[in-house]
Amino acid sequence: MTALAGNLLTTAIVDSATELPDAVRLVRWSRKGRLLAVAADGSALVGHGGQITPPMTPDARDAAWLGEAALVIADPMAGLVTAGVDQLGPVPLLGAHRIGIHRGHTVVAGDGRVAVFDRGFSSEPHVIATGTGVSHACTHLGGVLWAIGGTRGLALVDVALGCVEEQIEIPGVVAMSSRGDLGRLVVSDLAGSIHVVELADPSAAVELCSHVDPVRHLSLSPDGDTIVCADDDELTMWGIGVDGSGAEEPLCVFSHEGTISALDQAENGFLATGDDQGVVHIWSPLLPGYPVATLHLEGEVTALAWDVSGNRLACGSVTGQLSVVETRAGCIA
Amino acid sequence: MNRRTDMTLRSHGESRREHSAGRPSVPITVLARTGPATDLIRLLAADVETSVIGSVETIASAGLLGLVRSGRAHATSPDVASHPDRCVCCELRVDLIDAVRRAVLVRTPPQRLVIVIDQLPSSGEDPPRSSDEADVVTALHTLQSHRELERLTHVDGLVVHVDGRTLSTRLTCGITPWSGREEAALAIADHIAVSGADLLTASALSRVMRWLEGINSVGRILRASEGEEGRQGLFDLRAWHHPHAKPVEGVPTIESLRLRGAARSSESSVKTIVLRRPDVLDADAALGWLRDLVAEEPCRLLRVKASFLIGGGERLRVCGVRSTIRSSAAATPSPGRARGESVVWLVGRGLDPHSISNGFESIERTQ
Repeated sequence: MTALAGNLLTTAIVDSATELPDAVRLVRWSRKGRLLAVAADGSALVGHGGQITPPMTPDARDAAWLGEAALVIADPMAGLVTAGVDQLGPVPLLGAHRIGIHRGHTVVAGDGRVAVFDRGFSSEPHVIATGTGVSHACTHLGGVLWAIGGTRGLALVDVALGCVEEQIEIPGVVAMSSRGDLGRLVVSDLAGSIHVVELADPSAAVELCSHVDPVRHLSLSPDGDTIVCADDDELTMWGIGVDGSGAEEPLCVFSHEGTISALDQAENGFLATGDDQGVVHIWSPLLPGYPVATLHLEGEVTALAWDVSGNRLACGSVTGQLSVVETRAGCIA
Repeated sequence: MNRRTDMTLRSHGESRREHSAGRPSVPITVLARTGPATDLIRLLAADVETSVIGSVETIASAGLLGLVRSGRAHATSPDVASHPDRCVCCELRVDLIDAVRRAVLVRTPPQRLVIVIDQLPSSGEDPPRSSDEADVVTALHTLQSHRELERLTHVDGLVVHVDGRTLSTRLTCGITPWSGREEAALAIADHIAVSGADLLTASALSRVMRWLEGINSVGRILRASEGEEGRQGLFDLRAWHHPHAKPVEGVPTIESLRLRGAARSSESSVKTIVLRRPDVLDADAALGWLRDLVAEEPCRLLRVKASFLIGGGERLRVCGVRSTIRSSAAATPSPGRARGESVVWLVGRGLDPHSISNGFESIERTQ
């Protein structure tokens, strides 16, 4: 009860605000809290109060930190654009759409294949054919296992052995979220369905629910028991049973007046949602029905990202406004 | 599978059609080309407030690669997904969804988007079945069925470019001018731009125009012209949205179309069916009939337009592509028009005019 009351008193204070030259397209935090924000024109802000770079790439699709001092941006036309590593010019990898980093491995998902770079980009990548078409989602499942979702299906890829471990027939993958430590993956597709995949038996995926439109914003709670998804102006929270089946009645919340355009969930369970009217709601895991704090940006919210601690939230808008918000749960004396 | 009744109640037809706050919906012109059409692409992209989406080859051949760097051109390649897998009527161009979002979600959105679809030569008369094909109907269906795109943009019109010389030569030689995708694109176009018309004799041009009018009874068919005037002529089309974009008198009846369709080609070719009734129809029944028709013929139906005369001096207007239809009720423009008739245009392959006509005739009148 004390914790709930504390969460009710959550505060969100803008810690810093910056203006990027164009709409904020991507926001990524490093493990130690450095910020990378990439604008639609390819320019980027690196670190707090850092310089905004000239345009680095014409069509940034995804980005990741390589440690604390280097970063990589995936661009289907330009390949991999890096900064802070011993690499002259972009790494030519046509069709690069999604990128992920884990323990020195850089996994790049592209058109029907995955390229795995070990310890830098100086050597040729190990390329694995996935058969999933153009990649629209890529997530680390734990250890050497990655999930790649594309136009033609979902593949679980072992990057150490260089092979596809399992192919799952879920065409038109739109978004994915995983809790690899809990052995659970959730996938949304173009038909508006959400699939729960238990890694112990990936072929027995459960189709949880059917939305009218594709669910682009999807997250699995840190305890793996709740799926949060946004469709139009509606935020839906589904409880999942141990067998992956969904609760009969999900919790539906209509707190946004506009269409939800961004969503991110922190490791501590706090959730942030933003809409096309510039409203950002922050939600406590203990009080799912009501937002505990609200912010306003100029224009549609295009990017949201929590840092590792779950105390700082980066919010980007279509006007280029980038705000870092310090959130604190309240305390009861 | 658990289903949520409260969510599924909101169907595509009743989706909230709100646009981003303070940001106008960006009009999209889809240009389908059957040849190089580089002049037409350059003409459309001439305005600095226009962005272009197309394949790298299209952008490069039109000399517009420089626009990629400035964010005014977006390269894409067909990435087609369908649900269930390999269902043609549910196909979506996923790459277009991404490209349009990227083009529009910028600080200063373009005043207009031009999407260039390359019409690859088809090998036979069969309608396209492969997911790898970048046909115009799939592109149009994607733009009109995806809610995210509907929020940010709207389709202004489909412009199909035709080389008048090629068409004239083929007609003279007795060769079927086009089949499959090209014929479908011509039939559902809001505007057919005929290039090279200056090089044709009057009789040859007249023959070309007549042939095109036989295929497309809704859109405008004009010579491609240059300059600002020619560019503006390609905008604000929406022939498939307006109930009477063309004089009704010019529209062939169901009987003449049936005869022409039988004489011209096989069952796989594209037909336009126009249905009329002078009655005041029950709005729910009319919409229900059209929805049933779309549900029964999703793979055959390409584009639909309807204007139902309903009670209270109002019309129910419907437009759609493949399995997606949108409806809206509106007052008739003038009291005189209220006594008009309900008209339905259907373009598709292998449609049965008699069963469709019978269904239309069986719609209940308003009480």
